[in-house]
Amino acid sequence: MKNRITFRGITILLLMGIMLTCTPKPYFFRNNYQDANRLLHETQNLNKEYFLKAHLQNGDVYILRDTWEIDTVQNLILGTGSRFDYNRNKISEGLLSVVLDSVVIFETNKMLEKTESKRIRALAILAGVDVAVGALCLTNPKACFGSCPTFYINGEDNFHFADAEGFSNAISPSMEYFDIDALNNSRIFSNTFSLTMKNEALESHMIRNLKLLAFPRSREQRIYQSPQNEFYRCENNYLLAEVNSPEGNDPFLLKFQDRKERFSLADPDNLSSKEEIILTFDKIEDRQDLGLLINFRQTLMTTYFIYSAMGYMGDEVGDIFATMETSSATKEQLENGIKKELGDIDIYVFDKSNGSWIHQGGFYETGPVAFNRQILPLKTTAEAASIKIKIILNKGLWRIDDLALTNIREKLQPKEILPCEVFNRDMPDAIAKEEINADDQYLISMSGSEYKFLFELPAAHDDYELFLYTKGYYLEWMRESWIKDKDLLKLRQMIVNPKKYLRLEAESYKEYEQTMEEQFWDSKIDTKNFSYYGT
Amino acid sequence: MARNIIILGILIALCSPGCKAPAYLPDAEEIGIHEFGSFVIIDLTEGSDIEGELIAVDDTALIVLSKEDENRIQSVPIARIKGFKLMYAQPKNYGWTIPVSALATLSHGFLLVFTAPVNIIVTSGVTARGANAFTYNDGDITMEEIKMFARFPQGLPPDIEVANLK
Repeated sequence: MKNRITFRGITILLLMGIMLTCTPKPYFFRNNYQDANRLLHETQNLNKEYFLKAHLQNGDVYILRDTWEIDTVQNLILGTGSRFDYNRNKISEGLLSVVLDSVVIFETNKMLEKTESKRIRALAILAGVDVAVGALCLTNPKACFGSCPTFYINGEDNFHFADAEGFSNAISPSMEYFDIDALNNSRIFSNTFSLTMKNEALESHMIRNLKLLAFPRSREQRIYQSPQNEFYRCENNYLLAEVNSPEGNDPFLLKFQDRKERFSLADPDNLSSKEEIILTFDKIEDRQDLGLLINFRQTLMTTYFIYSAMGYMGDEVGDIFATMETSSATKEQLENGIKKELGDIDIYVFDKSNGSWIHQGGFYETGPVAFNRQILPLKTTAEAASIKIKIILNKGLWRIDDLALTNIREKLQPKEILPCEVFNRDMPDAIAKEEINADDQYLISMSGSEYKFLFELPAAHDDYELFLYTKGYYLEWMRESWIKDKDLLKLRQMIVNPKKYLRLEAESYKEYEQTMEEQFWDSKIDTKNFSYYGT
Repeated sequence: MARNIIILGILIALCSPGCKAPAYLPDAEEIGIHEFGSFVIIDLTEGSDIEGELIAVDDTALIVLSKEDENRIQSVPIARIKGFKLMYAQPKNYGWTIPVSALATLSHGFLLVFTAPVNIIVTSGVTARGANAFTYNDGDITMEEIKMFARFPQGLPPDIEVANLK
C-alpha cells in the first residue's frame, strides 16, 4: 500500500512539476518603432540593452548589436554591426552610422535568456527520481525485482507484508519442487478464505499446484510445521528468558514475534563464517515433548548469489540452463554447492548429565520476503524447568524474529482444499482455475500478474490453522546489465568450489550488503497492526 | 492506458525530428541579429498549406517566399487565411529523451510499471513543449503584430523587383 501511495505521489508531483515549469508561454521580445524619438523614449529607461535593426526604405537593413546610440545632434545612429541588402547579402560590417531620416522602421529585440531552463529543470527532476529509484533497486533488488510468487492474505499489502513465498529455489523446470508455508492466519469467522498471488518480479512463474492445508484448531492450540513438513498440534508457549549472542545478552529482539528481527552482517573475510547464540528458557511447566518454534527468513545474501550466478552466465545463460535441464549432476551441484556450505540454522540442546551439546536438527528456507514459522521437535527431554539451547548459523544469512518453546500434543494430517474460484484482476478466470487444479497443467503468471484464489473451508469447525502448498518453478528474466558481468570461471568456482568462492566473494558482497541491508531495514514499515501474529 | 501513453511517446519521438524547422532559422540566442524573416505555415480556407519565409505583410495579403519551391513568391490574401503558425528560431529537440528515459526505467524492476509511464509522460511533454518553444500561432499574435516578423516589417519596398527576391 505504501509503495502504491509513494508512486502515486511521485506521479502527481512530476505532473504538477511539468505543468508548472512547462506552461506554454510565448516569448515577447520584439518591438517596432516608426520614429527615432519613440525608440529613444521607450528603450532608454530599460536596463536590458537591445539589439537594433534599422530597416531602410530600399529594403536594406542595419543590424546593430547592443552598443548602439542615437546622436540627436547629427541625426545619426551609431553602433557596431552589419548592413545587408534586400536579399540579405552582407554589404558592410564594423562601426556603422545610419542617417535617421533614411530609416522607415526600427526594430528592437531583447536577448532571450535561459529559454530551456524550465525544460531542463523538469528533465533534471525526472533524472533525479530515476536515479533514486534505480539506486533503491540496486541496493534492495528484492524490492524491485522480487523473486518467486508472493502470497498475501490481504491483497492490498506490499512485499514487506507477504504472508508466504513459493518455491524460491526452483529457478528452472528440472528444479521444480513443492513448498509449504505457514500462513499464520488470524481466527477465521467465515467458511471462505481468499489468497492473492502476485508476480512482483521480472520473472515468469509456472505454478503446477496450489492448495491450502487446513487443520481445525481451538483457541489454546496452534499447529506448526516442521522442516520435514510434518504438522504438530501444540499447546503452551514458553518465552525466551536469556540470550548469549555475539552482540550481547539482551533477549528483547528474539523474545517476541513482533517483526523486530535479529540479524548480523556477513564476515568480511569469508561469507560462510558461522556464529552461535545460546538461549535459555525457564519456567517450563510441562517438560514433555518440547518443540522449538522459530520465526525466520533470509537476508538478501541468497538473492545476491542467484543474481550473481545469472550474471556470470552472461550471454550463455540459455546454454547453461539447457545443460542443467539434461544433466542431473550439474543441477545437483548448483542446488547443493553453496547451500550446503552456508548450512542450516542448526539447533543443539545442552545435556547437563554429560556436559555436551546434542544436535537436534536444523531449519532452512530460502527467501528473504515472507517469514517462516516452523517447529523442530526436540529429541532431548528437559531435565529441569530450565533448558539451554544453542543455535549455530551462517553470519549475515538469517533474520530471526523470535524463538520460543512449546509442547507438542499430536502429529496431524492436513485436509487439502483446492481453490473453488480464481480471479484474474478481479474477473473470474475459469481457465486459470482449470490450470491450477489440474496436475498436468501450469498456471503461468507473468510479471505484474495478480491472481486471487478463493477457498471454501469445511463448515464443521469455526477456525483453522492454514498452510499454503505450492509447487512449480520460475524463470528469471535476464537483465541487460547482467550480461556484461559474464565470468564463466567464477561460475565454475561457485559451483565446484563454493568454499573458495564464498571466501573470495566476501569483499564484493560486503560492499553490496552495507547499503542493501540499511535500505531494507530503513524501508521496513512497522506501523501496521499485527495483532493476529501472536504465537 | 499504459499502452496509449507508450504510443503517444513513440509518436512524439518519431515526429519530433520530422517537425524540425527550416535550417535558415537562427538559434534562440541569435534571434536579435537574424537578417531574414520568420518561417510561416499558412492554413488556407481552401487548398493546401503555404509555407515559407515571411517577406512582408500589407493590409490585404501576406507575401511569402517559398524556399523549397525555387524561391517562388506568393501573395496570400488575408481573407483566405484560416490560421497560421510562425516559427522564429530553431526548436530544441528533446525527442531522444523519450526512449532513453523509458529504457532507463528497466533498472527499476517491476516498479517500471509506475516509472515508465511517468517518464514517457514527462519526456513527451518536454519534447512537445520544446518543439513549440519558439512558435506563435494565430491565437498568440494578431495579423498586425505578425508584421514585425517579416523580412520587411515596413512592408514590401516599392523599388524592389519581387521576382528578384531570394
